[in-house]
Amino acid sequence: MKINLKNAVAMGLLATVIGVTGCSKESPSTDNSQDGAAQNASAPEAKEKVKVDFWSIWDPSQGNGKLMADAVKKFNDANPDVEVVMSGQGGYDGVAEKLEAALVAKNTPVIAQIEESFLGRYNPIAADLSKYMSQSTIDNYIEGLTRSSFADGVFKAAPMNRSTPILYMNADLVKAAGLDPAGPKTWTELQEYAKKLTDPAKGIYGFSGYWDSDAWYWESAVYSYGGEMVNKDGSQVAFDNEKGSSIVKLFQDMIKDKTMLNAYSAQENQSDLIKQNFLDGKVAMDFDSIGSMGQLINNTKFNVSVAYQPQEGGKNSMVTGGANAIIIDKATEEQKKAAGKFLDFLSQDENVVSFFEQTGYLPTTKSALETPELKKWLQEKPQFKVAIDQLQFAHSRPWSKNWKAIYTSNVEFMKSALIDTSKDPKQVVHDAAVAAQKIIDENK
Amino acid sequence: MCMVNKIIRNPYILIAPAIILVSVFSLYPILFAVRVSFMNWDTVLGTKEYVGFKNYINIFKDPVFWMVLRNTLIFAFFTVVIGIVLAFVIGIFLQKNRLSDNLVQSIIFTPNILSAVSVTVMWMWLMDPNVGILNFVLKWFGLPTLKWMMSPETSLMSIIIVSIWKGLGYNVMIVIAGLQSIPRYIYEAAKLDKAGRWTTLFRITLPLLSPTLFFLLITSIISSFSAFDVVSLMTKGGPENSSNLIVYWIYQIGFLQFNIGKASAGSILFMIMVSIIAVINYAFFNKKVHYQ
Repeated sequence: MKINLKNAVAMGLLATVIGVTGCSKESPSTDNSQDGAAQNASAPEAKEKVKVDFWSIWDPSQGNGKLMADAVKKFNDANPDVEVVMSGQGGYDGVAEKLEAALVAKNTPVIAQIEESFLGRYNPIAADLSKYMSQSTIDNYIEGLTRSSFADGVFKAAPMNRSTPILYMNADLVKAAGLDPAGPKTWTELQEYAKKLTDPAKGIYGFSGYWDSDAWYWESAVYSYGGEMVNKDGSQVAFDNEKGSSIVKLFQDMIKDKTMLNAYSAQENQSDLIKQNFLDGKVAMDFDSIGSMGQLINNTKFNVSVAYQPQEGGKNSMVTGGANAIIIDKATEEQKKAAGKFLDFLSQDENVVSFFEQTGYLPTTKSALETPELKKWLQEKPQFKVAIDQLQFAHSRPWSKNWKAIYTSNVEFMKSALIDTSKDPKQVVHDAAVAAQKIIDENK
Repeated sequence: MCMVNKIIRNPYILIAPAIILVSVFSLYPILFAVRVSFMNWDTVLGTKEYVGFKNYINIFKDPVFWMVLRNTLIFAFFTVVIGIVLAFVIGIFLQKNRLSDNLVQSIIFTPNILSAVSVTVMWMWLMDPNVGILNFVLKWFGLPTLKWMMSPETSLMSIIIVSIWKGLGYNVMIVIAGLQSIPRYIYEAAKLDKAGRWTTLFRITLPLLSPTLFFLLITSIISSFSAFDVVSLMTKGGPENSSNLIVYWIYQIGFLQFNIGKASAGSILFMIMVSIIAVINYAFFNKKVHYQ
């Protein structure tokens, strides 16, 4: 009995030791970055390549990720002392989730491609880019794209793949209905346009739109009514008012009088559903991202025109979206410098123009707009010009470290108002605001 | 030699590998989660501070938690009860070793070997409010159509249906195995005593099958409480949390809101809940189960 007890105690100790060592594993990796710094500093003559981990939202083997991977390769070839290593982390959410885990494990990348609005959360770990990038690059970014890049006046997020919502119109239908081809300026006008464009006999809806998975279009419309998402320091929800609910009411009204195709009557493919109907000529106006431009103007048998996102109350205001690059401040000085160089490289005219032409994401720099190649492109496809011009009215994104959690909650409420259009929009927005405020209060 | 033998034969040495694995992969994470559940952990700043029971209080004050808890209990009740009753009935019909029985058995078992993703995608098509076959069938019978997982009223029902369907084949297999292990001579004796079909079913089959059914009950309850894939793939807990279950909710708190403390507190509450149900299970049913 005694021996058994002893053994049992020994086993317990063994388990504890394993537990403790498992736990203390954290500490050696803590110093990883410093080790790296010491190594790099003490052995300059060894000429070891500076390795820069770059976490992308895209898989480097295909599509946009392939284009980015090509740019990385070009950069690495031109800079033999640096090696940028790109890895796809599974979209905006994937990068955010893995960054969170990496912060806990103290094993962060050097560059992270994060959704524009996430700087509110990652600001404490993001480096001051003006220290590592050239000032001329930073000044060269189109001003409308950097409104969410500054924290206390410090530039921390470099625009990468960026977008903004615009109104697509079937120009032939607009012309046939005898409407002003410039398109509606206000949401009220949009409603009137939609009424005239709707043709139940042919199965044509005047308009369609949706919220997207982060309620991006709702956010954008709320700005256009003069509303806000959260207050300046992100401590209070600011959309629990008429400005927050007007667009919900408008969409509900239009769905009820059948001038708007309700994308929420079917499965989770609202974007594709609307685009397909637009391409088939069954939806005359589509409120969608600039990202869909290529698909919508190249595949149609009719003329497509675009207009600014409508507003109400006299002032244009809308979101931008997509991703910015941040440099994680914990990286070594060499890594940060190399990363800055890489971001400078991505912003060179040649790279900006080719990325824009191949992806449809907005060109990010002013000088790229002045290149003959881009000028010619914009002459041929003037629809892009509208979206670029619209950037002057870009609204900054919500400054809250909990924004991702808030929009995940918001979108459920906004969706419910379109699935069941008898819901009171004010009540829906109020409920969303209460839930959002709770998230803020619980995660101070 | 004898010494070495003695050491090797020491039971604690023999169970050491298991204990070590359990300690590292189960015990340590559980204890760590208990610790984190009392903390406010800012993952970005890397700051941790003890906040006492604040995370637990926040959960109890959260209406979503109560809704999710209610959903989980409803989900578990229906998937377990319907799943087992259906399996029992089908098992009774398929227990003979005929070719047709085996064929039907295989067909019913198929969903089990398919991946959850493809199965749910298929069901999402069947349940589409506009073009889904299920609504066509309802219309055919002159019944009102449903919005299935698009509506708060029917979303929970939709995932219950898919879960039952997916688990049915496995349950039927187990029931049939149980039925076939009941000795024939008992039935023959019952026949000689002129026992009717129902008497045989309730007096012989059911009691002798009770260990099998008890096993199914326990495993079904556990799997229904930890259901995640169906929710994540079909509804993401929506609309308005109407189909959100506790495990998915914990995931949302932890990995969408990055509130690790609250998510850990939720996990601990979940663990306590499942433990209580397991204890009740054993206390209530163990006596009624007839082991030969």
